[in-house]
Amino acid sequence: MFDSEVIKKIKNGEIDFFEVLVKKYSKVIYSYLFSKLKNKEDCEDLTQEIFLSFYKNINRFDEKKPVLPYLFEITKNSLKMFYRKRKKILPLKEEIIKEEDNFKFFEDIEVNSFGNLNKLNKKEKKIFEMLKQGYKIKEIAKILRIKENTIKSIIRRGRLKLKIKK
Amino acid sequence: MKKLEKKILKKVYFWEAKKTVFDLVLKMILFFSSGLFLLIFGQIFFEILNEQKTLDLLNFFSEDFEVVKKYFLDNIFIFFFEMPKFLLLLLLLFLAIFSLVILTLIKNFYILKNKVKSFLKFFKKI
Repeated sequence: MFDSEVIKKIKNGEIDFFEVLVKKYSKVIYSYLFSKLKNKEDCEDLTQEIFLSFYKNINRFDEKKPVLPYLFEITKNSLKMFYRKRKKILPLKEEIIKEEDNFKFFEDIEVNSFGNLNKLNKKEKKIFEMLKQGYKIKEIAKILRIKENTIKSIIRRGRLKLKIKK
Repeated sequence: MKKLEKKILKKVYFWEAKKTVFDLVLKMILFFSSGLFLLIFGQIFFEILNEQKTLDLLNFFSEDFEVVKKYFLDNIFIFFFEMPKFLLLLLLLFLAIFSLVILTLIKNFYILKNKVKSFLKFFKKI
């Protein structure tokens, strides 16, 4: 049976014919997703969502057009959404939240805890030395002509290298 | 893979069943409420027309053809002038909703029948 006939039947309320499309295309979509995500659970979830989304829009789908490119279009969008969602739910470390809340946190590193600054690269070293001398982040940003947020990231990275805990 | 196919179908069927039931319930509510309002307002409307003896104007059609021809427009004008306009508007509104619901139900009857058949088949399987 052709896809167009199957879709016509589904549009006519014979939902059982959706099984034909699922059997025909689920493997292809799943394999494609697995090549991208390399995670069985995520791939299964996404495949389910893709087929559900296809079903939801099936009344608007032109049965004369091929199904697979349309499914891949949904897959592409779903993947984008998936990556965006995953980005959003990245667990924030408590200390990072604290850092965002407390601007002073970057500047309040004890002088003794700087340790061996040789572990740092040139830029990090310079910033840490300026911090040591008592400069504020705003001032460092102005002097070095770097954005404040960039300096914060450099400090965060440097602190990790120096293993400074706070 | 079979497991995944089953999961997909289950998800689709549950979504469709939910949507169909919601649609059906909504249409039933609209059908019965508009029908009920149509009945109530219709009754009030005709009672008012009866009290005003407006309906007696229709007896005029049993008159001679020449008389009907001569006074037709005048009578029609009086008839509409005496009608309770707001009530008429409400009646037309509910009539429109009522007929729209019936029309969509008739139009989608076969689709709905097929869907119910598919649901029964699927839910018997699981």
